[in-house]
Parts: sequence; structure tokens; C-alpha cells
Amino acid sequence: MVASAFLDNILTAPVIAFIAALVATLLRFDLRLPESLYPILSTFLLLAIGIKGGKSLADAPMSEVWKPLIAAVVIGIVTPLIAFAFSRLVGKLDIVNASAIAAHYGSVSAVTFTVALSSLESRNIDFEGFMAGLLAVLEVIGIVVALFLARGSSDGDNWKSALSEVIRGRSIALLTAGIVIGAVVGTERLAPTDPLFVGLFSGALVLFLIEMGVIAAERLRDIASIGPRIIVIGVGVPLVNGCVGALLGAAAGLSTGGVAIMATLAGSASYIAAPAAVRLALPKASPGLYVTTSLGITFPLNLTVGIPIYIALAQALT
Amino acid sequence: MNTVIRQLVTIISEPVIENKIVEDIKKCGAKGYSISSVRGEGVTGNRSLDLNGPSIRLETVVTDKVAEKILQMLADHYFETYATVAWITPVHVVRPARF
Repeated sequence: MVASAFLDNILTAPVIAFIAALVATLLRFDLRLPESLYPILSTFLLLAIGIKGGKSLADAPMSEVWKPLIAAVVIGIVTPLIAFAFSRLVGKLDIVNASAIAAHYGSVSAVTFTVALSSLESRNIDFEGFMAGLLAVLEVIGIVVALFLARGSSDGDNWKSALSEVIRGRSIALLTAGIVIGAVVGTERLAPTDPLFVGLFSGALVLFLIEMGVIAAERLRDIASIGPRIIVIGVGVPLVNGCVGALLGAAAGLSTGGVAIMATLAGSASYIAAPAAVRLALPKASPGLYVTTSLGITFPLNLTVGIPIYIALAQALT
Repeated sequence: MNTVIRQLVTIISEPVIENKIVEDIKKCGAKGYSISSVRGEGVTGNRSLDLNGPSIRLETVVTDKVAEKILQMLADHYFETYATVAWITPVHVVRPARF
């Protein structure tokens, strides 16, 4: 079953686009999209994810939301701690670099989340729509916890500006704006915007993943210079965190799709919000190390192998 | 036209610390600045922040004293930890009170 789930997951347009771009770039083909497209696509995707989540949030009673919300907070606290311990014990990293890794794995990747959604949709597995709200919650908590681990190694000013960078940063702002728009305006009145935010979504995601494939391939080239220990971290941490996410999601009473998404969120690593925050709060941590681990290893792993595993786990647990 | 010599301070740095640098140069006494996005390579060859945008070039025209202060501030807080370079060029300006 996992094998067929694996194929189902690979054979979706975003994942194939990602793999094609990754391989082409490794073979030195120039697939880079125009520079200005990246911020446009990421803005569009974050807003669209937010609106989609907001619409479902408006329909979901509070009694359904609070347990998953608590589970998300617990995940936000536990996953960076696991990443930290793993990096210290298995990866033999120092405290600063282990905290940097913890911030990346405690936070989440909106793109991985989105690919998980489209994978579930293509297989007709239902999920709770309010998960996009949990995405916003998780993006912040993990980074805060991880920066807390390293508070001794960072001066107070940088700590504060890093926090405000994450909380006021573009990704949280856009996601929250989308959720508010979706929740306040509601499904019916948003119908005229559907051709843009719903209709173009899958296509935009494909374009975005081409860009991600190019960037991930560039990071992959750096692995050799950093050493094999980051492969162990980049593969080990997401799978352990994904299991934790699945267990907590199931304990919170989520549906199969919801558990799969919770596992994906827990197992994913940030590569936009966390690097910016870490660069500010922990300037001594090595960007080559944390960006390569999160973007070069974990992101491709989750997209291809991780998501089918998380879905299979969810099916076993629910 | 009568011109006066002032110092153009040019700083190339990482995009994530844009707000922080702006705040710091203002504290040193800079009254204005311009920022543009630039591409290139340096000894640090730091491409790690690709996703947060290209490097920034910050330019500010200031008095000798302020220029000195800015360089000292960069030396104390930026050069070691961030991919940063900076230099000073004398420039001829009119309306020196603006700088």
C-alpha cells in the first residue's frame, strides 16, 4: 500500500515539476524562472492557502478546533526539542548550530503543507479545512522555542528583532490576512474570486515548485562540502517529528487527512521564515548548514517519500 | 555652483538585516539613505539567503564624522558575523545642510 501511495504522490504535477527541475539543474540546465516571479508566486500561494483555511474556519465550530490547536502547540514545542537533541547527540553539532537546526525543524514549510493538501485531494481523502490556521501557529512557536534554547548565545536585541521578524514577517502576515479574508467574507461571497485563488492555485504551485527544484538542487551541491552528518539530520529529524505529529494529531481526534497534514507539518522544515530569524538571532550559526539541511535534504525528502509515509501512518492510526 | 565635499558611504550586505542596518546608521547620524538590490559574489560567496532576496546596497551621504562612526559601528557589529562590505567615496554636494 505504501508503494502505491508513493507512486500516487510522485505522479502529481507539483512533485514531478519539482523533481524535473531538481534533476535538470543538477545536470546544469538553466531552469531559473524570472527573479520577480518568486515573490509574486509565494504571495499568491500564501494568500490562497489562508483564504481556503479561513473559509473552512468560518464553518468549523470552536469545539472542533481547540483540541487540534492544543496538539499544534505541543508539536511546536516538542519538534524543535527533538531536532535539538538529535543535532547535538547524533549530528554532534554545537549549541548554536543545533539551535539553528531546531528553529528550522520546529517551524514549518508552507509549500510542503500545500503539496500534502493537493496529494490528499487527488486521492479523495478528506481533511479539516482549519489546518491552515495551525500552519500559521506552528510557523511561529517552533522558532520561538528554538531561539529560546540558544538565548545564552545571542544578545537580547537580536533576539527581539528576530522574534518580531518572524511574527510580523511576510509569510505570517499574508497567511493571516488570507485566513481573516476567508473567515470574514465567507465561501459564498468569495465565489467571484475563485477563478483566481482556487482555479489558478494548482498551476501556480507547479511554477513555484520548479523554482524550488532549482534552489534545492543548488543547495544539494553544497552537501559534499558540509559532510554526511547533515544527511543524517535532514532525514532522521523529519521522520521522527512526522511520527510525533501523526500521534498527536490522532490523539486530538483529527480525521485521516487531518492526521496526515499534522504529521506533514511536524515533519517539515522551514526555509524562509526560520533562516531569516536565525540569521538575526544567531549570526554565528552557519547558514550553509541549516539551509542545506532543510532545503537540500528535508524538503525533497518530504515531497517524495515523506508525505506518502505520513498518509500511510495516518491511515494506520485512524 | 558652490559645492561642498561630503562622504558617500556604500554598504553591501545581506537582505535579512536591512532594517537593522538602517536603524544603526540613523543612530550614527545619517539623515537619509537609498537601498537597491544587487547581485554579485564576494569572498564569503554567501548564497545561503537566496530565498530572502538578493543582497542589498545601501548608500548614504554624510559628514566625515558620521562616516567614521558608521564604519566603526559596522566593524563592531557587522563585519564579523554578516556578509558585509563597506567603503567611503568623497562626493561633491550642493545644499550640504541636507547631509
